[in-house]
Amino acid sequence: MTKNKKKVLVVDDAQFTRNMLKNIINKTDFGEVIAEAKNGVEAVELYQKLKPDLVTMDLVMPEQGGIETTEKLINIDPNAIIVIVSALGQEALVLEAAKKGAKDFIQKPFKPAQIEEVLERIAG
Amino acid sequence: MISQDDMKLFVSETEELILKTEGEILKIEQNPKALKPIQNLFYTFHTLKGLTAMAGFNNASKFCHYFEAFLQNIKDNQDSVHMSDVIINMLFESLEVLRSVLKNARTGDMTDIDQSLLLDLRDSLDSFDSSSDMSFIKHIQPDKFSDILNDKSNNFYKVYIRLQSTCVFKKVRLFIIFRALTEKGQICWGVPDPESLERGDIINDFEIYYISHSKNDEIVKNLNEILEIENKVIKKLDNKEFEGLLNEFDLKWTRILERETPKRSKELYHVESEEEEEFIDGENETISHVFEDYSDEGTKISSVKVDVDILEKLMNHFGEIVILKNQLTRILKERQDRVLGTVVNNMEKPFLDIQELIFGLKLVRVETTFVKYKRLIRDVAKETGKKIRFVLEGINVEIDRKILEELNSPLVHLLRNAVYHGIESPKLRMKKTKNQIGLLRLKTYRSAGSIYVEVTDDGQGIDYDSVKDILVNKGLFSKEEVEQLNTNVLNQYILQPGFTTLSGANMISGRGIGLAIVADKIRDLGGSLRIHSEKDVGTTFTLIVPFSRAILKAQLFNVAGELFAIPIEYIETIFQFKQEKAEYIDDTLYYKHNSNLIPAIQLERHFQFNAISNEDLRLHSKSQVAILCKKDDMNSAIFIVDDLMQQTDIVVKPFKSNYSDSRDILGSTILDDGSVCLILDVLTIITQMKFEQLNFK
Repeated sequence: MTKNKKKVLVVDDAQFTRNMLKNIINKTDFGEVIAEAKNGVEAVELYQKLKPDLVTMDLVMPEQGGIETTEKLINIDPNAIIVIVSALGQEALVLEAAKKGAKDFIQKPFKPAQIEEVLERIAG
Repeated sequence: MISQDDMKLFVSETEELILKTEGEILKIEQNPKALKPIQNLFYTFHTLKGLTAMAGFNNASKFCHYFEAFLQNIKDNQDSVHMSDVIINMLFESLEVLRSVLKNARTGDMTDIDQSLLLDLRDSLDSFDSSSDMSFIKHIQPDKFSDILNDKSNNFYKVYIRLQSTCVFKKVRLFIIFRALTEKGQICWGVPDPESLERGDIINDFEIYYISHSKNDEIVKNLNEILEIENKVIKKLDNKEFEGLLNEFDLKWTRILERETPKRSKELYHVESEEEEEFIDGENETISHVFEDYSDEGTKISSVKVDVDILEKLMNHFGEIVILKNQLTRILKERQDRVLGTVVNNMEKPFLDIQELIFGLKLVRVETTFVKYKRLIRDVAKETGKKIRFVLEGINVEIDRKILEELNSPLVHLLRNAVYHGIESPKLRMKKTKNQIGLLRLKTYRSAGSIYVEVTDDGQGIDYDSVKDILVNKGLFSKEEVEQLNTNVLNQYILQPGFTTLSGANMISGRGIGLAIVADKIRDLGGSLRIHSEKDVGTTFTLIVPFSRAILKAQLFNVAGELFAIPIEYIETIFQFKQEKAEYIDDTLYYKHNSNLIPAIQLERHFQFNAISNEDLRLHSKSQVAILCKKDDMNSAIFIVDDLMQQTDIVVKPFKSNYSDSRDILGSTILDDGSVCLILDVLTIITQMKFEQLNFK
């Protein structure tokens, strides 16, 4: 069955990006997207409800950004595995998120192979 | 949100503060342990924090806050941070960041400092504080060695990691790697070095030395969970080996700490002698004193800030009134009205008083611009590896604001030249038995109606042999003739507009390009440029500019029915023109005055009002008056004109014409009766005459 498929929560304010990530993740053998959040507040709600294995986190979002959301999620669950999805030129923000507890990061534009690697290596 | 006027005020206040901050940073650089500059710096960042917040730049305010906190930390715990080069440079760069915000603000653009820049800064500042817990690579003290080495459960590793070449965020990547390793052990050294590793300053690969209870494969498993690692090699080391290494690391750590302590007098490019420090302090104490008064809240308003545009308008309006007053005087003279005449006469004194005051308003101390050059010299000296002692003299001299602005680019050019090409490298200077530290002096003083600004260096001087070669190569002189030319003449050539094009690139050890432009600029200001240079002794460029060029006293005269004027300050004497004293030698006109043969110029012919041949000139009897004008001790000329008119105050309107590139005209003015009068630029004419005289074959 889907026994080894990681449950992924995708957090990004752009539907296009969410779709893209969802498609790539669902095509792999290692993961499936169980929920999408379009902002940090939704992300926290959905995380508590669904307890995913992995969260992909966008950095720049309205209302509550990626760094703050990461911090909140780690507070709720210190073992939460959060991978930052960043754009080029955001190194300081990514570092900040890492300091708040993000496990790793990937940069846009990413190849499907990278997502696979994330799912294999990192998620749980 | 904030009004345009308030924004202007914000910009100008903040600019002042930034300039002051720069001065304090320079002081710290010269003496990193001095407490006062650090205190001042803390205070200015505090004030900048407030200003930027009020103006609506929240990130800029946070930016300043980080610096304020950083400096407070240094202030309170003297040993927690060493004011290294890296920190000094970061402080300077921070000013540039703030300046860029100001640049936007000036045009109404409210773009604030980028969020990521802010976080970068905070991390950088944190990393300097050795008391912060940000660093993963720890300096293990020798007293802990035996405990660590004797602990049986400790394993010692050398870990080599190569990142994927596509990895861009190296700092974050290394953070994640170090974090993972530190969870299961301790990193005690890194290659290339701990500092670079913390900053993510690597090309692709690195090594770290690791103490951990973990086994080899556990470490591998740990690292497997991290992305962007191309290759990793984990090598176990035995106790003996590691003991040696620990000692080695300790030595290296100590050296790092030493490097950051202020024992830098040997590496400084500024001399750090007591005497000089005091001297400069003396000047700067004056500035900071004024500034503290200004920033003292709630005190009496003893001064107001006036927009320069308003001053200009005031100046112009007053100029117009002077013209009207002159008209009034003239009319009254004709009408011979006693009563009105008395009233107008009484106007004379208040007018002169206002004139003086307005002039005073337009004047600024050269200090305002010249102190900025300290930073310039510092940067250029650093760039070229030269040791420079930069001395400012006479910064209290006041000069017309506009003229000061115009002087800036020529001075920057001359100062840079002095460092790039004038002053030799420390090695070379030592060979020449000169002081390794070169002297660069910017001296300002007033004399008669002019401001003198001297740029002096004690460098290699102008290579006149090269100049002579160039003149010979260009066919202006033969080898024998060129030897006859004295340095004054050679200097004239160096400054001639045509000279750089004649010689091409790289003449006189790099100087020359731009010198002509400098000379032009000064001429446009109605001033002149002198050079004095001696091989291996040094060079002095003297810029002479009029104190103020708005209102002049001038001698009016007539040439072929047209009105002209010459500023009084250039006139030596005026006398009757006597035909017999004029003679031609080699097609150049001379006039015998007091047994001297002085070059002369027939203005009617010069301006080609009528076609007059040499013969006609001898017969021409219209010219009545000779005006002897002096540029300097070496250069004079006699201007032959038709008729002398009155001496009067004129308001000069600088001459910039689309129709003519005549360099003879300084400007124009409108007289009492509304007629237009052109003002001769005698200095340029005299120079040109000299040049033609020398050039003539």
